[in-house]
Amino acid sequence: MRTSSFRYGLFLGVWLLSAVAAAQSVTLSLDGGSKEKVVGRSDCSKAFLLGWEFTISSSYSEACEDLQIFVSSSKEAGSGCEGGKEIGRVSTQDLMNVGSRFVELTNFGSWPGFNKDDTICGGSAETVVTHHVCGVYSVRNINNSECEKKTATTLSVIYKTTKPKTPTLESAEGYDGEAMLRYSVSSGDYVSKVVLYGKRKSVPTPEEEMGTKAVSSSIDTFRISGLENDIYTFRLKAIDEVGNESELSDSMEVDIRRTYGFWDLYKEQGGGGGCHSAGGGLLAGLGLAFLGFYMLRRP
Amino acid sequence: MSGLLWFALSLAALGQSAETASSQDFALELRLGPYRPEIDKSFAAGQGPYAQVFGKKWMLLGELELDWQFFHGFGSLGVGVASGYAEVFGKAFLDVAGGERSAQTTALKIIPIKLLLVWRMDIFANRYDIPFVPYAKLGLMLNHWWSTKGGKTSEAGGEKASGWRSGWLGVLGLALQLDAFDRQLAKNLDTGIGINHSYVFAEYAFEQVQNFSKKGMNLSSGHWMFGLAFEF
Repeated sequence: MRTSSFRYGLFLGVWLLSAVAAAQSVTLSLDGGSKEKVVGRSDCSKAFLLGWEFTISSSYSEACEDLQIFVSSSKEAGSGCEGGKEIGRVSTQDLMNVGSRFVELTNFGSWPGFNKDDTICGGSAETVVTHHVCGVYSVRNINNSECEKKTATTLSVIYKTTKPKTPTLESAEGYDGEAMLRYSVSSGDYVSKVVLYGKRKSVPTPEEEMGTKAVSSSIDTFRISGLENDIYTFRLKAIDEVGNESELSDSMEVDIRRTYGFWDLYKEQGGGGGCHSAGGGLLAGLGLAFLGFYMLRRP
Repeated sequence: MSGLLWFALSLAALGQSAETASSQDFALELRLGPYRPEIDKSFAAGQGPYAQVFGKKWMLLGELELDWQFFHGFGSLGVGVASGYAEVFGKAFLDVAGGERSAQTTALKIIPIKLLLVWRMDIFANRYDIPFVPYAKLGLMLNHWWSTKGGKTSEAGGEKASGWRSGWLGVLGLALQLDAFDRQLAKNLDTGIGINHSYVFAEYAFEQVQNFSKKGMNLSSGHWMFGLAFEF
């Protein structure tokens, strides 16, 4: 049963890949092959590199027009990237030099969508503008020698200057100079790290940054050691991929207390030992035993 | 579990047949049993740190032993090495008096290493088809122990909770030879993969592990173990 399902799955996968390959000859990609990129204020003066890969499938003989790269910010571009602004071009000659290459797009700040609602690229307003990048090219059909217009996969470049949602400290506990804080951050907000701030209650010191943790899931635990057994107040800030910072979370108080485990109680009650060798008697015994073993094995 | 192993070995032996038995030089034992070190015996009033933290919990000790049988005469005589692992977990206290528990986990973990002289009285099983094999073992042992709290090795007064304890042990056991249940299969196992005999067994281990009565953590114990053995 499992084998049959696997075979059908494999067949379907190969069929889908073939279908995609036959219909699509240009593949576009952003950094590291991704289909989505988040950018911020500091990216406004930059010109991105867009990766492209042209492959000739069995039904087509050659590229017969330049690959044009368009961007639109209002909606995802339809067939032919209608309504988009051209931001880059790859010549037919370059396309025919089959392989993976890059094309430099026009300055990001000149892309459409920044003048609506009083927002401009690099301005102080908080906004999210999603740019849809697509490519149009033509390839010659070997059956009728006609050029057919095709559209490459659409990519998204998201200009984001909004603050991530404020993270939440869900729970906390602390023992033996260490605190474990369970927190949550909003998913889909491109949060890449959280920064922990804290201060001791018994010592009148200002709140200070106590550590940073990369975010791998929307709910996680921040573990911080090297603390005193005291009451601490903690707050958390979320930072997204392009450096937008959230508001500080509500504070949470953690009473870090000393605990007594097995070894603490063993020592408290006067138990000896620990980190000691096994004694010379045993080593001598083991030595003799191995010597006997060796003698017995001799022919 | 033992049934599955027996079945797997039977499959491996299928199709093999020969009249002569293969030579028998080794024994392999897998055993499990409850283990509770006598740490608290060193403390007054019978309430030591083990009982305080772990209560009446026993550790589950699993061990693997390999013997080289160098003499076959009146039974078999061999030397063996064995090692295993045991652990127990509890919650640490928030005060030294052992009142309120915290959510912090504390544990004691032990790896025993043993060097053994093993005598198996198997002549009744081999000559008269009586499937019981009593046996005895005597040896030296070394226990590596460590204790953790919050996932890290504990430390108190600058002393790490980790160390070695040496001692000696004696074992008495009785093994049931499984060959008696299917002679043909036993023969096929021998000719096919060289297993001469298979056993299930129960044994009582008496271990004195406190650096030959020196002061320190007492890891001595008297406990039962149960397992599977193969001679090959």
